[in-house]
Amino acid sequence: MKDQIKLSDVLKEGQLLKIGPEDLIKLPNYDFKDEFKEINPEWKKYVFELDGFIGIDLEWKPKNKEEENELLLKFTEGLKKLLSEENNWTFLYPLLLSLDYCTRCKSCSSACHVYLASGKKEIYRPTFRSEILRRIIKKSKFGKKLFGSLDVNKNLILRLAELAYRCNLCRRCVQFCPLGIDNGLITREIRKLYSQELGVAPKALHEKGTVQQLNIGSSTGLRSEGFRSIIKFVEEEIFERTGKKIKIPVDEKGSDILLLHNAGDYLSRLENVMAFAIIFEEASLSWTLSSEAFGYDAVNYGIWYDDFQLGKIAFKHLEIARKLEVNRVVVGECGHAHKALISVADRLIFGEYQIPRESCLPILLDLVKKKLNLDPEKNSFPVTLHDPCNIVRLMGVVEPQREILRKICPSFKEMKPNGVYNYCCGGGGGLAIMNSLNFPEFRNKISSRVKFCQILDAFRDVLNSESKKYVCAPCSNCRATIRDFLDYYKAKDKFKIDCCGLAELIVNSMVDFDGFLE
Amino acid sequence: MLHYLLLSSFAMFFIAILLNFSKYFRAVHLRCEVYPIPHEINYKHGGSYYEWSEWWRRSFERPRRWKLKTILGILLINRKKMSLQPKHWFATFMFHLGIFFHAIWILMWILCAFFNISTKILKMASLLAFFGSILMLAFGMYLFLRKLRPPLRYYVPLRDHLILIFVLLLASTGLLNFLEDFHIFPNDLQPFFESFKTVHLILYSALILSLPLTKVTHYIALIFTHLILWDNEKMSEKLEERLKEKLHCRVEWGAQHIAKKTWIENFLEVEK
Repeated sequence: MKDQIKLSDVLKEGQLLKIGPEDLIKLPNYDFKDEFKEINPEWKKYVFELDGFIGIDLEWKPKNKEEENELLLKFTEGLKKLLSEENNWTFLYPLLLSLDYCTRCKSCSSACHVYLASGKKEIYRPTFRSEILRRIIKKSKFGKKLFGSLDVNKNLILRLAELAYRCNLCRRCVQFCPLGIDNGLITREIRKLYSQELGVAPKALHEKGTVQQLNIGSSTGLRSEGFRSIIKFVEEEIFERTGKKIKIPVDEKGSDILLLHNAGDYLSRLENVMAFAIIFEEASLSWTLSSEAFGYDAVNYGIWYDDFQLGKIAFKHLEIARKLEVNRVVVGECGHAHKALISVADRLIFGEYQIPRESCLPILLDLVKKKLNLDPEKNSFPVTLHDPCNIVRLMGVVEPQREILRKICPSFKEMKPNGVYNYCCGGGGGLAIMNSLNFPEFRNKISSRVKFCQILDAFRDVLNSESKKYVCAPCSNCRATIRDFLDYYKAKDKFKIDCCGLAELIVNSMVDFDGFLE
Repeated sequence: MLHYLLLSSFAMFFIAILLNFSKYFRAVHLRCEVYPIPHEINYKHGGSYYEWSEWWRRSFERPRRWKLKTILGILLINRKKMSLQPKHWFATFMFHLGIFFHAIWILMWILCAFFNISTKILKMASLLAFFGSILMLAFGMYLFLRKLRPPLRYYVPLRDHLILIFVLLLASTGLLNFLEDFHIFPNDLQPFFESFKTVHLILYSALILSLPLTKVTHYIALIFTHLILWDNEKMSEKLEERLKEKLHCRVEWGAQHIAKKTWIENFLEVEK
């Protein structure tokens, strides 16, 4: 393994990069020892040859020459389709512009949290994977090896697929590119090539993600009956915690709002679901949840790797809204669902499916301003805000959540940088849900590291105080990622830092509801 | 004659650029905007119309001139790079400034074939081009050397090096010509510079002609990349028509979960 990895090294055998604790950026005000384990020998059947981490938990390495040739053929076919208008009109022109006009100034690198956290390892540079794609396209265009073009072999194909899952698709790099070259988009297009042609994608995204969602109705495997009993449990839990009896509306035709939550919230942390029910009922909104398949799971993992899965799920979501005859669909605190259903799907659906869709955050702001009785002193603990990339940088919903926090949390403090220039939590682009084999190690140690630095910095004045501190993250996947790395860095025990949603903080400050967060 | 050579090379350049970029005028794609977007009212904090509840009921005043202003800002100052790589920003800024000065001189040169332009103005344009050549040469050399150092040297293709060498060569020959214009060289070298000027302008025309084949046209491309990044246009009847056409294209992707049918048939999982 060399210090300076070159593009052509992806063609070679062996592990390209081995990262160690000495490579990682230092955490501010915290001496934490990261431990790196050797890869489990049994996992070598997966593609570990990039950096020792395994994102794609499929056994797809070719076992003989025949399989290798088939892989090469499929990859080349996929490449052609990626560049054809019929097969890829969805993002073809942004892709072509980004491929053709990068001047390799490397401004993007200093904007990338993965590259920075890794101690500036070459393979994590935003342009590294883009340049590989550029050079193999050059080769395929001219049909022969030209100076600077790259041959395609199995090592390159296997590594490029893994490399596409070392990016959070947060697209911070494009904000800092003087030419507007979109390396995040290129990464997603690479993922598409593998998924749409070779059928290769992490199980969490495809097999147990979109495929399961399209078969059952939810990527979590939650079925309609299960959902209904959870709702009953939520009602009981609200009563137990607050003493208030709330009837959560389900499948109420003709309601004004259909509220879509990430189904993970129904299964792992119910506080957010409970908080929304309390707020919407307290404000007497006309709203409903849906118990029909697709209606209780807002997620659409297609946005990270596959246009077809993206389109299929978007239609299913809007079919539910159409049947329930609601006026609008409101997406709960789930970042990628915001982006997928509200903005990206806007150009995939039409006619009767074009039902107005919006973010929950402006609605929460309206309610905080006009309808809820709040006592900010109940939230006197230190709070900082994480900006989910999909909601903030990629949809421009920046102020509502801040305005709410300024009203309900007297000790609210911004991270730096924040707003549209925020750093990703490290779980973006599907990495939050990729939990098999050793991939969480990559997420916690590398892709989430800059976010953890930001959190430590935001709380630096109160870091060692006994008071509980909250990172407010209005996105389900961001919350899961943040909780996971807070555990990994032992920050919950050592610094009493926890993570919660925005709705929970609102309910916690409501005059009639005591100690909701406890 | 040289005027016409330059003129025709410019004409060819613009035709090639039009052909090259025309596909982006009629491009339809899914939304992939990144904020801040300059035509948004909440541009200052990077906000969008999604910051209002029931946003579709509101009308938004969108001062489109902001787009132009921001594009010009990127073209001229490029603050993004200034904040991240100040040293590199300064070098590229000066290099591009040199190109602008040169472009003014070339424009004057072409115009004087058709109009009677005073020698005073021509002299001033020559002076500008002289400084332009110095900037191009000095900072172009810096950029060239930077590209030879790792890690950039692993990324920059040969074509980019060659075009930069070409530009540096022209800046040098141009510089010598301007020095001659200011009568710095002895009289007996006059015939040599006469033919040298011809060679310089021929090379200049060749460069202009070759530009559409290179990524030097990134100055034009960045307009399109930003228009895509700022495209948050809501669905409209016109857009819907264009999208429907695309959704009826047949796809040939090889993965099992994609049927060899049209996009819309795939989305609605239509059985045939």
